[in-house]
Amino acid sequence: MEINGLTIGIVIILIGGYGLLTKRNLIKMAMALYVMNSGAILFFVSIGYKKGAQAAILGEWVKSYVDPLPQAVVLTSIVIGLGIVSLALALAIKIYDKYGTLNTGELKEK
Amino acid sequence: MILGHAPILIIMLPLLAAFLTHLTKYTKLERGAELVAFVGMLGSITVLVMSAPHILAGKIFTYNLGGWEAPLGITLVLDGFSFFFASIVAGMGLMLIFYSLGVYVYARRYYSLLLIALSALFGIALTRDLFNLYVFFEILAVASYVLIAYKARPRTLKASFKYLVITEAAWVFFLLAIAILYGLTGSLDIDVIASKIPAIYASSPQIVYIIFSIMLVSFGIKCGMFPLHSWIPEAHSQAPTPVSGLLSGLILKAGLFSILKIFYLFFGGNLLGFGANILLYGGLITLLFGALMALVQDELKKLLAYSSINQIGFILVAIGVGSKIGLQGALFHILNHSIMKTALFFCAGIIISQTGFWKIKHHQGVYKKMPGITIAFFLLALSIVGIPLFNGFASKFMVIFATLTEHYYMPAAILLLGIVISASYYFKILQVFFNPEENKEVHDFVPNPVGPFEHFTVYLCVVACIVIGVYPQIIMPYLESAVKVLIK
Repeated sequence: MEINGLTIGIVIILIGGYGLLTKRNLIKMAMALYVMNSGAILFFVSIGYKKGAQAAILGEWVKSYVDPLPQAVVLTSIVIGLGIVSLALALAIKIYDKYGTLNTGELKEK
Repeated sequence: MILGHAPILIIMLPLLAAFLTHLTKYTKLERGAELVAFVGMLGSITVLVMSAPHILAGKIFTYNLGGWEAPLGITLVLDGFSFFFASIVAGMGLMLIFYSLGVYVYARRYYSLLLIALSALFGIALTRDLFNLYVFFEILAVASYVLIAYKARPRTLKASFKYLVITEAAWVFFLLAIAILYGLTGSLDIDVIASKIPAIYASSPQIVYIIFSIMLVSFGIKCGMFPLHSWIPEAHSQAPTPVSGLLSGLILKAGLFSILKIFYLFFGGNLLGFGANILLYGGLITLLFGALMALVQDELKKLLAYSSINQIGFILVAIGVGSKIGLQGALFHILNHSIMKTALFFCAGIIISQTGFWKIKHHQGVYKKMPGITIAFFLLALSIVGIPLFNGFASKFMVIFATLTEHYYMPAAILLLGIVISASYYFKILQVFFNPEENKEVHDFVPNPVGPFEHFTVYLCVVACIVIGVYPQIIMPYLESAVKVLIK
């Protein structure tokens, strides 16, 4: 199997998913979510990648250029991912205030 | 002509109002935020009402954002199908704002978030761009996480975090599916992709199956399909009352609506055999699971949440059957369940805020204290169970009729079984409510004052249930124009 942005993106998503499933700490879960999101972003941006191509600023000197749409789209999802993770961390802080722990196993009913 | 801009206006007016609610801090208006929220929603409703006759006449409003045409730009389409869901959002959004008006604890931030969520729901209804759909779902998700955790009690925070982790993991895979589709077709527009899917299916059907499965899981989490429902009971029961109404009445329906959208517009007839069976049998399992879990709940709001899962299963079965009348029944039940369950959550919220008890057994003899609300609960329960002359009967009859005409006899029997179980758990609650002996247990609790707004909202929903139940004909033209978009 060729090693390129697509395969690495999938591997990063799987690493994030592993973290989400095995870690019991709320902050580590938020980190795992962000790792998953980064994997998806790398995958998406690699779809528009072309070897040896330039940025899509057109002119006579440009022979081949990469697809600009995935880059534009991915910018939005980076921002969304950042927002989600900061919200998750804010919730984690609040949960720590109320329960005194970040371990999901110890969050007993209150 | 203002209607040329109808699709974008419907989305932007609540969003503008969401921004303006914060600015009311600098005015002398006592309840400025509420006023702005109300006016913003009314703006969207005005545009929808103005476009209604054109929609019924078969006109389709298309709006290209920034003037970029379909393969590159984002297209918003207001046709019969998106109009139907946008109307549900508009109507129930107004009910939610009405209900919140009476509760004084909600501040500007609450109305702002509610309007952002409603605006995202309008966007989900209207957009024809996959990435735009993803963005609107994320906006809706962020607003709803904060709304669930609004009161910042320990259990609400936990429910919100659980919802966040489950949903976001699913959206990562949805982004992956969008990326694969973009790589294959070079466009993000649903109509453009739909035209290219048959060729992809002919060369490599596995990829289409993968994309379909990922999307079904992402939307299944949103709509609470078994076994992806685990966030529903906690989030629904812990959220503030109007937010429970928003979750059950609109956010679950956004998932269902998107399943309808991708399943029929996007994959066309290609996957009908494979995907329809998953939806049909998945729906049946969801229905039975929700019904059986509701039977054993002892908390009022949790029972209502499991009842939502039960009704979602009903709608999924109708989508899976997929004939013309089945889809009409699915859309009709989406509308009816939205009204009934939101009103039931409102009733439960009023009762809990007066007594301070969460468990059903503590609500003995509530009838004497709050006769109006208890009778409203009784009528809504009859409606959701599916007693004739109520709207729940009309849509459930359509769904069961559709399953029988398509020769699914076993599923039809299970649907009827689900109705019987739902009758038993609703009558269990009513038996406690109408018990002549009052609850003797006392605890130190100060009841919140319940104003006329809350009562008014509940009674309005009950009247809507009865009117739609007695005259289902008033909804039929809208259902027909909606289904015409799905089945060509």
